[in-house]
Amino acid sequence: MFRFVVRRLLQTIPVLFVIITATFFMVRFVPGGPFTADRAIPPEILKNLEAHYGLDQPLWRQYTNYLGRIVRGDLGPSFKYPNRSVNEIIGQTLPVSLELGGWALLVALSLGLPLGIFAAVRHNTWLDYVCSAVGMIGICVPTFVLGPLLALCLGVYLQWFNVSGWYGPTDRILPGLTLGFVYAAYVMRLTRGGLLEVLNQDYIRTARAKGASETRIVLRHALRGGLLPVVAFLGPAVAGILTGSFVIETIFQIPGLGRQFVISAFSRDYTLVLGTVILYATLIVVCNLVVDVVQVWLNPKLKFE
Amino acid sequence: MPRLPLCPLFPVICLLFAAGCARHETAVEAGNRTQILHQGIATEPQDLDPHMLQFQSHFNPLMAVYEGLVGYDPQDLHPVPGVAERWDISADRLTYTFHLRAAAKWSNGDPVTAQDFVFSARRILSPGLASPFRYYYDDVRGTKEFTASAAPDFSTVGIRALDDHTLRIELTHPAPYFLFLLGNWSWYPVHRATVEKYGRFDQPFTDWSKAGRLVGNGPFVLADWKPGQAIIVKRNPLYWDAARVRLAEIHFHSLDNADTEERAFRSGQLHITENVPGSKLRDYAAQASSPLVVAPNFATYAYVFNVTRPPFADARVRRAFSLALDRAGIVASQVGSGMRPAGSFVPPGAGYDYAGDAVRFDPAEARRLLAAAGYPEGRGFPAVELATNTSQLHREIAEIVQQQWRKNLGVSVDIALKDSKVFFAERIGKQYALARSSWVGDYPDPFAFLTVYLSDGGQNTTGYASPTYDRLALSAAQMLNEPNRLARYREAEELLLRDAPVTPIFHDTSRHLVHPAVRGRFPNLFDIHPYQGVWLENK
Repeated sequence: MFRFVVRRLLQTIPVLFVIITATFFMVRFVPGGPFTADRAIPPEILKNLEAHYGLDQPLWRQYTNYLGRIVRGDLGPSFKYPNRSVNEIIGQTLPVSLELGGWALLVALSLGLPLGIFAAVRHNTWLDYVCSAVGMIGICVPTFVLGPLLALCLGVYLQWFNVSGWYGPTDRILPGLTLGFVYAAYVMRLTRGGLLEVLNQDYIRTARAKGASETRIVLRHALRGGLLPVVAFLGPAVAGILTGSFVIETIFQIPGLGRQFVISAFSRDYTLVLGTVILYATLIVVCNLVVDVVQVWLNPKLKFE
Repeated sequence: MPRLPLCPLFPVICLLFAAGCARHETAVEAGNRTQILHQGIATEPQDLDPHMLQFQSHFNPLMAVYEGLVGYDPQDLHPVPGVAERWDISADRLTYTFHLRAAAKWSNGDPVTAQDFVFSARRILSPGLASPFRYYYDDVRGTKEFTASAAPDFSTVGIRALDDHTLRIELTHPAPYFLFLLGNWSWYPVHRATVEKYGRFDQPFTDWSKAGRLVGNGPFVLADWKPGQAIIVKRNPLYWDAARVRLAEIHFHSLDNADTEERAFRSGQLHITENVPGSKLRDYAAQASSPLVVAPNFATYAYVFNVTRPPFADARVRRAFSLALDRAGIVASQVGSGMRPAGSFVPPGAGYDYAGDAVRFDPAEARRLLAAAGYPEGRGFPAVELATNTSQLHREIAEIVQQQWRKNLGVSVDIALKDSKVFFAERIGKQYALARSSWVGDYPDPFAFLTVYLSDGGQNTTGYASPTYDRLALSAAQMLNEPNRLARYREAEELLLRDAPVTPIFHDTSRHLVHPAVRGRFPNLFDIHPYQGVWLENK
C-alpha cells in the first residue's frame, strides 16, 4: 500500500506541472490585465506598477521566476490585494471553505445515509417514494436557486438567520444546508441503490436464515457493501464540496477561497488565480487517492497495484 | 419491520438548526440602540491608504478615519472647515493660505501640522508610489513637473508650510472648484512616522494602514478588519470635533453581490446598501414609505465612437446616430431609477447649464445626415458592433438603442457583451467601433467633464482631436470672470456635441436603500456623506 501511495503521489507532479503551465499562459493571453479599469491609468503610472510586479520582463522570464518561487512554496503577491501575499490569502480563506465544506458534508451524510437506508429497507412503500422524491428534487434544484430561497424564507421573512456573512455559529447553517442538500440527495440515491443490490444477495439471505435481527443485517452485513457506490462518489464529492463552494460563497458572501477564486479570475489577479488552481488541483488529486485507498479497504475484491 | 436507529449526527444537526430558529434582535435593531451603523461598501478595499483608493465606495471608510483641510456640508457639499479652521484666497485666486486648527490631532495624540500635508502631497506626487489619483493635484503649481522629473525637488511645488499651522498652496490657474478637491481622499494627510515605520515613504502597498497600526485624524479610528467581511471603526475621542460625532461605531460590510446585499438589508443586517439590484427598483419605487433613496448624480451614461476609422470617422454619421436616439424612451425603460434623459454631456446641477439643442431626437435630420454621408436609408452601411461590458442595465439599454437605430436609420447594429476587463482593454486600445462609456465628474465644474475629450486627455478613448475644442476648453479654465468662463465652456460643449465623438444617453443617479432610522444623511450630487452629523434614531 505504501508503494502504491508513493507512486500515485509521484504521478501528480507532472500533472501539476502541466496544470500550472497551462494556467499561467492562459490567464496571460486573456485580454485585459490586473490594472485595466473603466478609467485608463496614466501610462507612466502603469509602467511603475508593472515594474513593481515584474510584469515588464519577458513572459518566459516571468514564467521561470514563478516556477522558481513555487518550488520554494511562495505563491507571490496578490494583484488585487497588493499588500497581502497569495499564501496569506489562502491561509485566511481556505479554513473558511474547509469549515463550510465540513458542515455541508455533515448535512449530506446525516440526511442522505438514513434516508437512503430507510428507502432501501422499506423498498416500494410510500416512505421509499417520499425519500426518492426528496432525492430527485435535491438533485434537480441547483444551489443558486435553493440558497436564495432559504435565505428569503428563513432570513428575510422569519429573520431566524443572517443572510450573509460568516460571523457567528448560526451563520453556518444556511450555507451548510444549501451546499449539503444537493450532495445529500446523491448520497441518498446511491445508498438506496447500493443497499438494495446487496440486500438481494445470498449472504444476506444466509444471515436472515440464521435469525439475525433486521437491524443487525442492515447495519452489520449489508451496509459495508452497500456503501461502496457512496464512497466512490464521495471522493470527487469531497473535492467538489471543498472547491465547488464558490456559488454558495457568493450567494451568502462568505470570505472563503471559492469567492476569492471567482473574484481573482474577473480581476485578472494572475498570482491568485494560479495559487487557487494549484491548490484545487492538489486537493482533487489527494481526494481521489484517498477514495482509492478506502475502496480497497471496503471491497475485498480490489487490491493495490 | 424493526426500528432503525437514526444516524446519530442527525439530531445534532436538528439541535443546531433549532438553536438558530428564533426571531433574534437584528444587527440593525441592536445598532439603533447602541449607535452602530451598518453600511455596505460593495468590494473590499485593498487597504485604507487614501492615496491608493480603488473604488468610489471605499471613500466611505476613508472619510471616517481621515479628515482633509476642508470637509463637505452633508446637504449641498459646499466646503466647510476641516483641519483648516479658515483660509484666505488671494485676489487673483492663485494663492490659498490655510490656517490649521491647533486642536487637530492624530489618533495617537500627535498634533496635525502643515508639514503633515506637505509630506502627504510629496508622497502622492512621487512617481514611486504610482498613485492613480495624483491628477487631483494638477491645478497646483509644479506638481506635473515634479512627478515627471528624474530628480524631483519638492521645493519647486506650490505647497509649503509657513509654520506648524499655516499652509500655503499656489495654483497655476484660478480653479473655482479647488476647495472641493481638497475634501477628496487624495488630499487626506497620512501620518508620516507610521508610514515610514513600515516602508519607504513612497512605497505602495506596505502594511502601515492595517488595523492596530493605522494612525488617522478623522472622527473615527480603525478598530478591526475582518478580511473579506467587515471593516470596523470606532469613535475617535481625540478628534477635535468629537462632541458632534454621535455614532459609536460604523461597520463597513464588503458585499460585492448586489442581490445578497439587498437580502441583507431586508433581513436587518444593513442600514445602508451600496447598490440596489436593477430588477428590484420598480418594486421599491412603488412602495409607500420606501427605503429607496435616489438622487441625481454628477454622471453621464454615454456611447462613444471610434473616430479613427470608418464609418464613424465621418462626423455626419456620428451626428446621425446621436439624433436618431429617443432618450426619453430609453430612460422610460428603467422605472424607479430616476435617470434623466441627457440633453448635454455635462450633467446639470453644478451651476452650469448647456442650453443648446445639439443633443435632441430628430429622426428626419438623422436620416438626412446619414444619406449625405453616403448611406441613404442605411443602405450599404457596414456591419458594426456596439460593445459593452456585461450587466443587465447595459444590455437593456443597448437593446433599445439597437431597435431605435434600426427603426430611425435603417441601420442594424450587433450588440457585443464582454467581460469588463476585456471590454475596458479594447476600449482603451481603440479596438471598437461603438462602445458604452460613462463619465462621473470628480468636482462640480464643467471642466470635470470637458477635460475628457481634450486631444491628449488620458481618458479620451475615441481618437477625437480638435485644436479648436482644446483651445476653448483650456482657455476657459484660465478665466477669472465667472459668466465669461461658463459661456466659453458652453461654446466648447456645443462644438463637442456637434462633432459628436460621444453621444450622451442619460444622466445617472446614485441609488441606495437607507433604513429610516438613519438621520443626518442627505442625498446629494456626488453621493458623499460625511459621518460627523449622522445618528440613528427610530421613529
